[in-house]
Amino acid sequence: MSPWKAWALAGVVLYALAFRVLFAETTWLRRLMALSVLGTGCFLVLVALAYRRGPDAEVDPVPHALALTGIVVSVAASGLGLVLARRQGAPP
Amino acid sequence: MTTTGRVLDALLAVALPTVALRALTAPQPSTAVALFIALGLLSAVSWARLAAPDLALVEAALGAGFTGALFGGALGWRGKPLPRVAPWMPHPLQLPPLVLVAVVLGGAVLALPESAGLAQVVSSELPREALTHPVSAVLLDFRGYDTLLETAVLVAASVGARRALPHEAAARVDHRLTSMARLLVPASFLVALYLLWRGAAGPGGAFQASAVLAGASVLLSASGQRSPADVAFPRSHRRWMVAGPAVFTIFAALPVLGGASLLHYPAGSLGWQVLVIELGLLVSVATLLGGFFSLVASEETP
Repeated sequence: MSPWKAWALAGVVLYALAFRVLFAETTWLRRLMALSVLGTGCFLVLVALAYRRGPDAEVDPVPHALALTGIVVSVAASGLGLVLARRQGAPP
Repeated sequence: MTTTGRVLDALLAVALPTVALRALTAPQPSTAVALFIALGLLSAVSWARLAAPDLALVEAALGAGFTGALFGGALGWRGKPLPRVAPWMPHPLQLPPLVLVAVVLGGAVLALPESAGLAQVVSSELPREALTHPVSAVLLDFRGYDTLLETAVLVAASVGARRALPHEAAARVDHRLTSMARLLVPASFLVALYLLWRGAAGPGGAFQASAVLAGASVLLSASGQRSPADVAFPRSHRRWMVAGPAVFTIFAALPVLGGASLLHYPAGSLGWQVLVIELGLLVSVATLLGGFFSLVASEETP
């Protein structure tokens, strides 16, 4: 199995795990963390796709830029989610 | 690839889902947060292995560090403490959808054809005198529209957060952190400016630099160096928060007045325009993110 496939599968597994936690859990802490891990799984797939030619070839910079934007937006989403959880009165 | 490289990649590809599972199913909230930070750091090493140093910088500073600080600040909120939650015992009916999602997505990803992507396109368009690093060029030049809207998203999230908790104040003080803050905050400014400058030719840029400054802001809040009267997103700081997006919007819209399309930088002026935009982004993104921490940080040590 080429390296990028292993990384992409790791990203898919992260996504599936976080997907389950996001929809099946009721505690806000786990759900917010799951949202963040969901994003990490997506970015892993994106960057693995950019890596398809292998470590010695030129990497595709467009998925890197997309993932970078995504990380910043994911942090903002976590922040806003935490603020909303705090407004609701904290305990999950 | 060397054998060591392969082994490292294999270990990371296995470790990431394992740590994620443990982090998401940990019964103690503090354990969950600690494992979440560990997951972020493992992700940062994974980006480095995948030839994505820009991403590694941002993930380590924002994904692991700053998000971990946000969740950690939530651990000690006043009121009922976060109760222990039972370890994950999945209901049997929950497993088929999980497996289905994994199989469908995995199959779709593996079925993608081998392709070079846009690397050739980017490198052929790249010879512009100022931005030689491909990722920076894509972020600020080729896909500048995405970055512009990303800053708008940050501003919108901050406005929403401020309106949701209008009366919270940053209150957490830990005097043991004071000497650490005195050493690290000035160093953070230097590192941030270096990363900003370096971003034109190598890994770095505005977002990495602002991530470092956001960390410095967290350290300042947590060590009590800010006056207790500071509230999150105070009026005096708002001009800094919108300065970056405003500058970016102005530079993006100027070409339209001249008849060209949005974000069409005139040839030859790319260098200084990008520098000004990046400085604006540095200040704004760091201030916006720091405001989130102020809203989330607890009043008591857990």
